[in-house]
Amino acid sequence: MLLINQNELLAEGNHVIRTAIEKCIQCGTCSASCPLSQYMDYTPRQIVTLVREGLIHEALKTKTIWLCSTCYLCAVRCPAKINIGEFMTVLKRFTLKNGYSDNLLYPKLMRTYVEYVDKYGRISEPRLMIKFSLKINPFKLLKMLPLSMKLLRDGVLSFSLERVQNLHEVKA
Amino acid sequence: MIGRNLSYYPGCSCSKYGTGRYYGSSSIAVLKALGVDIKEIEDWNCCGSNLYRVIDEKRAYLLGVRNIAKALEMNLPEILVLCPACFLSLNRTLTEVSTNKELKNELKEKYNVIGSPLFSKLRIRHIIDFLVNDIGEEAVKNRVEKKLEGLKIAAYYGCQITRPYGYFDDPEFPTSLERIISWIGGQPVESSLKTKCCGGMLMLTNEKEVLNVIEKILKSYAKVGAEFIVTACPLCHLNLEIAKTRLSEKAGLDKDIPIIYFTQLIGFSFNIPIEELGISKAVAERLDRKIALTVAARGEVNG
Repeated sequence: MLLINQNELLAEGNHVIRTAIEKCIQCGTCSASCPLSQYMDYTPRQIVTLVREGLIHEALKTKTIWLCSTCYLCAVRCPAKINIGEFMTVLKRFTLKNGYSDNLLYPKLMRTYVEYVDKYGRISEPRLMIKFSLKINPFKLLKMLPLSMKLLRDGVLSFSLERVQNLHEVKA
Repeated sequence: MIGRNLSYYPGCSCSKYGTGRYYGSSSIAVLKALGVDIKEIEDWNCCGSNLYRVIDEKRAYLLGVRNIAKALEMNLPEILVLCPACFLSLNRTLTEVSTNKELKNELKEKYNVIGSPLFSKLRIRHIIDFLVNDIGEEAVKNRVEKKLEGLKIAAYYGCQITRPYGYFDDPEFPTSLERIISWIGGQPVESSLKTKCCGGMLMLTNEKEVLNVIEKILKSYAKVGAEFIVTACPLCHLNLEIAKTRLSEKAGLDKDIPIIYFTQLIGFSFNIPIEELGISKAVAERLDRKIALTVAARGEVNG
């Protein structure tokens, strides 16, 4: 187990983490606003508590941070003006840096996305979906058939991808 | 408004091969009909969305800055964006580069335009903002050839158009799209979940949870009697379509409700050919039938 302390997290997260630790009044508005909080193991409010108490390791292991879709409803409602969505993004980044989450789906999706951007400078959603599905569970592709048919009928399914011409500029 | 110039950042989804290509083509067609000339940024790259920055924040900013620099080289002070993820991402990059001196100085060496006076004037504009606040009611109304009379149209904004910044409308209960709908003759109906997040990319990783969320959203639209849903985000659009194919067994939602981009609907009312807008024949017939019914019913009342 890696021992992570609050200071390391504070160094990573600019002022978002500090604001959350210092300003959160634990009202739970973020948890009540979150469209996905009912599926989380800890609510967003509780994640702030964990971080505040220095239980960083526990916070990083939660499902919660990977269920945040960064819709920022929490951020615009927070009476203490904490951008909880950004707070979650910093926790995600910190988790990946410290090697906590290699088997989770969402980090795999993000890595697939980043690979595409690095390789072509742009992405193709259908190709991204297929590549990701092949990585995790090829049977998932079968479930996509009805949608693929629908997209095909609408004339918007294409596997072509226009790559960036001056790719070296993107990479530099 | 004639002669107004903006640079245009399509982003991956709304470009030639993306699933939102008709959001792109219909937007271009509508703006052209309104006399606005947009010039695509040359050799643009992916904005990095909210994903890239989780892996590498610095590089995510560099992705954004390359696009901004290319737009500035065109000597145009505004970038038009359709996709909310691109909109947020480019705006975040602009804010960060403007406020983070260290980053700005580093980037100035790479892109001269970052230090130019034009940079400080640069604005990233979402097409909704541009249509409502720059083009305005009169110009849109004047261009309508086919009023969408009697059509109960509900807008689904999704999350990132107005959040977290809320540049041009209320972050939680925006009304810009409803205004546009009424300008083209439609009857806007509103769901209280119109800015509830669709789950975004989580559809690929947490499908069950995301489908539950969208089920609530679609039910709320059925409840207010929506006959058409208009979207303004390629990912919301795709997710709603996925949900429609998966939730067809569920009660309390309209599994046949057409979901189209709001720019496609504006284009339809402007009488732009449906092939250019990417509206299917079935949806076009449905729209026409509904309009004809309203007109006929009014005739009976008056007669």
